[in-house]
Amino acid sequence: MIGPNNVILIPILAGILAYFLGKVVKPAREGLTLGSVIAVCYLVFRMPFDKVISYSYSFKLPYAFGSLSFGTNALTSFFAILIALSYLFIAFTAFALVKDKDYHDTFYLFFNIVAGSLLGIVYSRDLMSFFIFWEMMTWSSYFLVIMNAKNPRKTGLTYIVFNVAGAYAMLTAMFFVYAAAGSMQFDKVATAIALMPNTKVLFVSILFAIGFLVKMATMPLHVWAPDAYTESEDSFTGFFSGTLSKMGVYGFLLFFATIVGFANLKGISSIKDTPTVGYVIAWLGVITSIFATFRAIVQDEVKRLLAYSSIAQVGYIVTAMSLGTALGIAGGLYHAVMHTIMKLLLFITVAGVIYRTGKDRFSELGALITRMPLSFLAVLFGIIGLAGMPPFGGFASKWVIYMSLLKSHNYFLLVAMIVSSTAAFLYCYKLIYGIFLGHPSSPDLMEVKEVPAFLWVAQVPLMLALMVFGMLPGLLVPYISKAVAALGFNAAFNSTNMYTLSAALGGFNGFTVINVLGVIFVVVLIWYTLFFPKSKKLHRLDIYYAAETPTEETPLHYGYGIGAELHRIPWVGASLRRHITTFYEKFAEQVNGIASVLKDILFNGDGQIYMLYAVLTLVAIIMFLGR
Amino acid sequence: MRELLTNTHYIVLTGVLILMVIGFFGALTKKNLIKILISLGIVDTGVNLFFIVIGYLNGKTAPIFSKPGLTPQQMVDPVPQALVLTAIVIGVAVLALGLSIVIRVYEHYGTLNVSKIKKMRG
Amino acid sequence: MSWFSPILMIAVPLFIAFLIPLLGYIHKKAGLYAMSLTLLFNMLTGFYFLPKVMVKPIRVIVAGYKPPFGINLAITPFSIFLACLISTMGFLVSLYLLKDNTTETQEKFAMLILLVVMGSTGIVLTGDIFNMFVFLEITSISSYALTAIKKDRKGSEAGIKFLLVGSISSTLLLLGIALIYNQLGTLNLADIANRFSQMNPKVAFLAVSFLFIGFGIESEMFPLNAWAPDVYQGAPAPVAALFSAVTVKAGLYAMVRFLFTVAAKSVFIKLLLVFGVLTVIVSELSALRQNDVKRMLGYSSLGQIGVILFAVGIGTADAMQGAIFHFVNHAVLKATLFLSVGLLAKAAGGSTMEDLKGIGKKYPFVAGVFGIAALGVMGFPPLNGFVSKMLILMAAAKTEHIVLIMLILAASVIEGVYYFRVLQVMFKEPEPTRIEKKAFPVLSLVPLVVLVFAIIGIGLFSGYLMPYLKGAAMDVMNRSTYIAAMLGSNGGAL
Repeated sequence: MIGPNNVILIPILAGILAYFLGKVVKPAREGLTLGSVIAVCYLVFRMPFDKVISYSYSFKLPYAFGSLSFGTNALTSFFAILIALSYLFIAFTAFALVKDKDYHDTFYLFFNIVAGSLLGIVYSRDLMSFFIFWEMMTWSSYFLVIMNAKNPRKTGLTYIVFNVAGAYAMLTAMFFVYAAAGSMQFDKVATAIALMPNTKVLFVSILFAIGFLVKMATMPLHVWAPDAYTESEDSFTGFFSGTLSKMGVYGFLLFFATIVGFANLKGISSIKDTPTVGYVIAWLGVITSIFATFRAIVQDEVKRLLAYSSIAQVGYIVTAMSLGTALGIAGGLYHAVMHTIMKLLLFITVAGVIYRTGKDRFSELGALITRMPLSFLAVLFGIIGLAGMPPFGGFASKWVIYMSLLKSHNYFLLVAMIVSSTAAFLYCYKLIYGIFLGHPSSPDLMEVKEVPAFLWVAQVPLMLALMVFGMLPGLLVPYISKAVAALGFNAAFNSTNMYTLSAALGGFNGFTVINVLGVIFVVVLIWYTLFFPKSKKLHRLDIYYAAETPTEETPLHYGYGIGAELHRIPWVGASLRRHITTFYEKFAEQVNGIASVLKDILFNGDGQIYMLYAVLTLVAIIMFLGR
Repeated sequence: MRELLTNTHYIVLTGVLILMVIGFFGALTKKNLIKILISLGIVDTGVNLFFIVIGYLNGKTAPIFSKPGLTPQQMVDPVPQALVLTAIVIGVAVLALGLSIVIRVYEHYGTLNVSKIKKMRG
Repeated sequence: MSWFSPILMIAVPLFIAFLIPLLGYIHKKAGLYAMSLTLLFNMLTGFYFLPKVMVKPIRVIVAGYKPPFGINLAITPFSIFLACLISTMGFLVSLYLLKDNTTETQEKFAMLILLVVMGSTGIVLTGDIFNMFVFLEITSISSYALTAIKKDRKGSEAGIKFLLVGSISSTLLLLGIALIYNQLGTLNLADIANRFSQMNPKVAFLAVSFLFIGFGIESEMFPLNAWAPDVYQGAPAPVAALFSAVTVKAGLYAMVRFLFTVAAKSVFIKLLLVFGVLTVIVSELSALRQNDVKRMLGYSSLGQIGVILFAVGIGTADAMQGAIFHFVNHAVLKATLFLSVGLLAKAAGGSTMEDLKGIGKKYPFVAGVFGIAALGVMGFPPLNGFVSKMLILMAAAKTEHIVLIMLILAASVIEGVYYFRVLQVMFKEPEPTRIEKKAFPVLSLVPLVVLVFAIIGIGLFSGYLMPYLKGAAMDVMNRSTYIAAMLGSNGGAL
């Protein structure tokens, strides 16, 4: 039987093969990627969902660390399916968009390696293999970030520094537990942590948390994310923000729920029946989502808006999960799925729009609804999900998260989250208005075509998924329940059929909701067609203002400025003007300064001084050790 | 072998110390490259002398069968002398190479001041 | 086959090295080919003896004096392992040189490189401390000459600094040896090791301090390594590759062999730990703000040496295994980096960041090799640097050196910054128009291909190396075995 270890290898080998074979036959790149996607999807879906299987050892290679172990359980399968499907959709996007770029060869190499590493992360059953694939994800995604970046120097370095530093924080903690456990196996490590003194457990938890929070772009470790999401290769960004960030979620759950255990942490210290570490992280998550939401609203670059939105949405997941309750984790997982779907959909569509128009700012776009109806619909579905409104999937997941906050009596967290969710409406509206509504910023926008057909392969299923999960919110419940059970929690939901989602504090029937809304929609539609039949189609220049007649060149697309007024709101404006980036830049400056001074003093170029070093070291050794 | 040290040894050892101190002092304070090389040569001489002292036994003769009837018991330790010969050769090689590099340095920098030859730094 | 003994690995290169000036009369290129063939011979000899020595150490007696008298070779797993590494790296660099070199210095180049490799091989194979000193001096003198061989400004400056500090090293080594001989009356390493405790503790301490500093200079330990960046920058790229792959390894061998097998001074081993971490931090910080890529690589090389010293300083068998693995990986990676930068710099006309702007688009293969090696140095899986770094840090974790681990990882982040900065300059800047693209000679690319396969292969199949590493580490850790094998009447004499 083909175990998880082989599933990991398929994309990696396909990527390497695609690179070399592609030098000879160009379409081999797409072909091999397609083959790998199909194979991965098939194998991942064929693997039993909630059976615990462990496969020790790997690739049949003699490896220095003895054996690396891999395995599956419900949580793993849950994330593996998410990865496999994202891999599929992004591959199709890439087929259309990367075709004639000059990095055609390296894109498929690194993209496939990233996909393989993500599978590796979820399938690994010991810290060493987890870290190996985590690092592989870091470097391979780095190349995808700088591949098409406008400012590769800053973006690339920030990305790599934060992610490597996060990974090394994790690594330090790994070594710490390894010293105690004498092994890297998850179960052995868990046993060892249970016996560790409290301060050490806290230390390890914080270091691990730093590693995962970096990946989830939680404040104050989010600095890399906006630039990296914005500037990474367009067709990859969906995978980047939708799926890579979920590895932080996976690692967080894996570590806090199974290896340390929330109960263990709660025993050390707790606030309101939540572990203190979790409580702090929950607040970090919610603060992240508030700040990121406001920042998203004022952006002019389409992808940057989505980047901040992604940070904000993952913030909700962080908050929900770190409470450490069954319902919270279930809500986090539910929202992880929904967020992946929404971000894939939105980023893929935006990539298509940028590909067709060559423009990536709201101020340069507008009125594309007539030219790209399908994309309009895709963004509409996406933002309804993003705003967490019924009838689509986003509502259900947000609802579970709210419920988990209510149930654990974290009302302030709930209020803060609702503030951020409400503000999110603004950027959602900006997204659809800036691109598709209003007036076109330039006449050539009226000549563009709908996004390439390959993208429909991704857009349509993702839109359907949002709709289906909205209509049948109970559909995901069995899977989430199994994943939560794999983390050692009791059932979070008490839904019995797929039409309803119900838990401790109540439930709703998604099917009814969508039917009611459907009926309202039809009624309004009929009402409009009956009573406003005389509306006529106007040319976009059929307006006059201040007694002037606009010409083709007059910019009329004003709506993109939504959010500019935010700067005038006292608290919000102040927060928007301040960037934590400044702090890190200062820090980097300090390090650079120290480095410069250090090297100029120590390596000052004088051969005689170098001789003196030797003599002085000798004298020092004799003086200090000779006694 | 410590107990075999005699006054002769101590006198020469003082000389060794003086040579080495002079050498190190010169190497670390003089700015002229050639003077530094000479100072290093003096240090080398000191070390070589030290080696000889180690092998020296009072009242013994050179470790060469120069006269019939000479037994090894009447000779000083031959090993340090062999070592010193090697060390001297090495010292000469280093000095020669050093001077030839100094010539190149002078061609490029027009100075022999060691503190001014620092285009490569930091 | 009693004539076929490991001593040929020293004798043949020495003979050929002095023959090379004569060979020049036969054919202009004869010297270079003789060099490559000799190093190939050395490599094959090394690998022929490797499995045998792993089973049983060999003692080669020169001129009929039985140990502890006379000069003998002590060929133990650690030494033969390093001899193989040294000759292999020497051979690869020599292949690169066959086509790389400009006309007039060819013979000197060939001769000096043979002498460097021969000297380094001698250091690792010899069983006599004075002999080790002589080989160290042969290596050093040839290195000074190689540094300044181009007669340019940078080479001369680096050469003279190297020579000045190197002289201090040789003086201190000689003093230390004299003190030991004064006390014990022997020069045989095993014999010294056997009777080291009989030394007057004060004299012993002084001797170890002298030798520690002497070997410290050769193994580029901070703060004794200030000359090293100049040398890496000033010397021609293949020579820099040779230095970081070969001579430093010999210096480190001498340090490890002396501190672990001979002196067994735990204070000094602890000192290595401190100096190792210092070396890592200072070097990585200094590398951060470099403009010349070769100099940057020099600092980075020092950083890796620091990691090795740190690992050695931990002093457990696991750590030693990781350290010896890092010997191999550092040699392979740094040779790759220097050789590829050498090619690129030759094409671009300089090795500063400005010169190398966008060079990756012009020469994707060579720059790609540089990129892979850079990823390896930074310790990204699945490349070889990752495996040894993890082994070292795991060993450090077992001995609870968590703070030091954090310091080293912090330095690794800095390492990431400057390597990725170079990669971005190479691949993301616009393609330079001033450089005319011309193909590199195939023979210069062969070593790069071999080395890249080594980087990936060692990373993936590290398990195959483990028995050898274990054998070498055991050799270092069990000094009684070494002493017994070298002094015992049933020692593995050929």
